[in-house]
Amino acid sequence: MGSFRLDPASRPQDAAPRPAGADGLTSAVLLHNARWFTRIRWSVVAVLTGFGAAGILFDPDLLMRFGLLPPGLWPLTMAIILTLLNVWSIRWIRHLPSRTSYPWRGVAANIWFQIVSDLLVLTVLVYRIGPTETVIAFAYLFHITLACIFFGRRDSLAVTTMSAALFLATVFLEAMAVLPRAGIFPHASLGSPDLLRTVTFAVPTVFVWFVVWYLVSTLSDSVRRRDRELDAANTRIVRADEEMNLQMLRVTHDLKAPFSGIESNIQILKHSYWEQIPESVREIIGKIDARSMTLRARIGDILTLGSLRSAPSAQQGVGPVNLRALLDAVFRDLLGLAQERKVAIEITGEASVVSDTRQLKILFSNLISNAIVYSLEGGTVEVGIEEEANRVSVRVADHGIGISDKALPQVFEDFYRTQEAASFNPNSTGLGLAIVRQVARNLRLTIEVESEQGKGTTFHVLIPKNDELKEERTWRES
Amino acid sequence: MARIMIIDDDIEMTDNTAAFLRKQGHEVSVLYTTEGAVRHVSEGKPELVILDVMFPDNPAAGFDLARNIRRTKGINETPIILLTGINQEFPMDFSGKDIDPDWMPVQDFMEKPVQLPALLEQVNRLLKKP
Repeated sequence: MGSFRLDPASRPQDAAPRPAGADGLTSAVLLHNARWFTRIRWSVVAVLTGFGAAGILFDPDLLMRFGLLPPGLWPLTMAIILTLLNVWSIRWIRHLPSRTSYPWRGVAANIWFQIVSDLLVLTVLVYRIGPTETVIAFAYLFHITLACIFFGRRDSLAVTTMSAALFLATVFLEAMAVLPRAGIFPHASLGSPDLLRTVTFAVPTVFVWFVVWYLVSTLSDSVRRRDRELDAANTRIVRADEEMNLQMLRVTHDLKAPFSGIESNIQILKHSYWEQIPESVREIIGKIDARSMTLRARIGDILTLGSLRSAPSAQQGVGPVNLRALLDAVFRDLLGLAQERKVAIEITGEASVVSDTRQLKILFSNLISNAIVYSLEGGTVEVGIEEEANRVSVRVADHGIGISDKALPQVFEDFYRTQEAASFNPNSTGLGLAIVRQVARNLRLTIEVESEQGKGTTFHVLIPKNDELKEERTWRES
Repeated sequence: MARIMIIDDDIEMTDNTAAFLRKQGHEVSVLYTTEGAVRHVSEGKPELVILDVMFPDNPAAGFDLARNIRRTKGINETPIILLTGINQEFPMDFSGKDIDPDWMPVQDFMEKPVQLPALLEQVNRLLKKP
């Protein structure tokens, strides 16, 4: 037995233009980065706290044996300062979404605040650990690289220059004995470092930073440009798709009026002049009627699909839906078809959800009529409503021809029909399950299908029970 | 037999429906526009109105006319069957029984293209005096 799950995937329209800053980064991306920054900072706080605690807890002689000077209280002081800065940043970020919309400038300002405060704290840390004796100065590269990723070239250059200025000022002030010599290694307690050695270390270091800035910012810039191009191309594709859909709807709609005229004439022949028509002509009229029914179903399906595709994903029509009443109404509509095919329908269970009645009715009409059409004569279609913790599951099962494992993932595609289905029901439009997929996307439902060829097919429609759809609409509107 | 008025811009379908109902013995008049329809209904005093929703100049003209008939003295009790050929393109479900009669004061909704035997059944049901 094969199975397939159709999740409420995001619509392509979701990738449409978003408000972005000068460098093309959206507020949502920046906000994600700002949060990520705060999470990274907690790990630095943890390392500093550990180092500070080790300085207090361990015997100074033990530290000296490992070649380290007892750090004193500065690591803990730095950890407290970083904690306060981080808490401040987190509170700032939390308050951002409550404003009208994520303001790009607001999030960018938060990231700037975090970078500048980090650079100042890092400079103190670099000075305390030993700017020229250790490789701690390369910790600035972390911020330079992140600035290149988060910001445009001008801003990342400003971060690089600021890092360079802070670092050079620290090492030169220490070399000129303006700042007392500091460090975690014993030789740091000796006098001021040699100025020439400081220059030969600090200047190439800063040079390396600028080289890194140039390489990363160039790369990041080109990735961002490519991203914008892809975004624009995607927008063009979505617009072209919408235009094509609209054209198809127009053409189909134009076909509908003359077609209704043809149907009306067939009806008047059948219901007003039938007795006067010879048997041979009646047969021809019957064939025309059968063809016109197929065509009507196709026109109806195309218009339904077009209307669902142009509908917003969370419609205004959302409200409480009594699923049992809805399925009973679908049953009444399909009773004629079921009798014609000699198929029984059994509906069990009861539940209510918050959803769109019209779209749910379209979905179940398609699923149940498919179940009837692909059932064997004398078969039964079982429709069961089951209430679960956070959702309601509606099961539509038939004991008909079934779907092969290979075809199962494709059955929701437009105009897709398996060979068996096409030969079993030549009048199928191939759009029924595409309509089901569209409703599932619009209402964010999950659909699971299990099928075995020759045994039958079971669809499970999983409908969220609470107000998730309303929340979704609020989120989209924000 | 009864006086029935069909108001629909689709001439071919209207004429066919009228011919069918006439064959059943009804006296049928037709209007292809909603312009002056209230006056025609007032003068003709049909016992039943079959009304389309969408007209070329106003896609909701049938709704407006149904409300106007309900507001006009002398014809406000006339039963109305509303023909809704708009279901696929219009985000509204007329098939449920929960349509607010204050919002749309009609006796029945039928989806186009109407099956003539089903229409006849509804016509006979609505023409039955209580």
